[in-house]
Amino acid sequence: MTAGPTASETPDPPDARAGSRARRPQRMRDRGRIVIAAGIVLIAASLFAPLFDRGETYEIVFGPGAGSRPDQSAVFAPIPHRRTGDVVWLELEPGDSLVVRNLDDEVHQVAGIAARPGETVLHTFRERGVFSDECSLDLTVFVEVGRR
Amino acid sequence: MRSDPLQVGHITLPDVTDPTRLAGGIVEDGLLGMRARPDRLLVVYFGFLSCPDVCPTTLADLRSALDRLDEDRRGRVDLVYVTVDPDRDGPEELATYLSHFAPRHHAVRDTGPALQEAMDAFLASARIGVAPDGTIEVAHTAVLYAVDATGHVVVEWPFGMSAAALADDLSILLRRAA
Repeated sequence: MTAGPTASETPDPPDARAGSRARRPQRMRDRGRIVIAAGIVLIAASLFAPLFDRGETYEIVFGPGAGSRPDQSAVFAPIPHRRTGDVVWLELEPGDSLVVRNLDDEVHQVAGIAARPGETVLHTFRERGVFSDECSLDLTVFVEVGRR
Repeated sequence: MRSDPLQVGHITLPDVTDPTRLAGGIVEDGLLGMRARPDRLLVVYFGFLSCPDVCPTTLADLRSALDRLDEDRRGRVDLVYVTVDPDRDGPEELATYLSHFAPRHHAVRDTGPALQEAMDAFLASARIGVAPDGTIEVAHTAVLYAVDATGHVVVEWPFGMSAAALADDLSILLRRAA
């Protein structure tokens, strides 16, 4: 149902209507400019948001001999995480990054980020979800983004 | 992000694809090269057909990502599926399975040392064991790899990436490849 004027509405005085006709286009133009400006600001914000929303960067270091040690969970200590049995869940937020620094002499990987001996690899998790690197029955490390 | 991307262009593996299903990768003497043709991409996955969840989920997400691309871009992505369980995954089973996810693809099956050499180049791994009840258990890297025409791995997607994110990345990579 529309809310347009009806025959029963009281008309404005002639002067007031004249003034209204004179002012309304200017107000509409002003509102239009404001809407356009707001739109430009929103578009610019969305375009440049990734440049500013860098999130946290967490570093995982596999030191020399890490591969031969039975429990590597200490390397996750600086990162928000929880444990469920033998499974470690690293808790990140969208935009957070993981840096895997491998000082060991064998390949190490976390959530699909595999680092060669001597290599440092950075991965930014852009979206929410649960990430893992292995398809197996005994996954030991997940990265869960967006839980906190 | 690596300062020194993985280079896998030197790897070749036996291509056992049904010829009617063959995608656009480079196959010579029955061996598929791990490098894309110019302006195309290879998307490589190491998996096994008996996998109940992770492998089919990954391939379903990839298919959904490809469906989000326009026809031209979709046609420039070649799926390469490398079985890490070649004793159980035969060419016919691979063809049937992969046809659900990509009408045209490359099925790769190697029973020799080339499989391990390929996994080493991708920094992937696979272990096959037998549980006490006799069940065969397979553990393997669940990463999707995008390989360009230079044989470099240009993106490594961990398991869990959404189809939308995969599609976005593929669009960017295909634009660069063109």
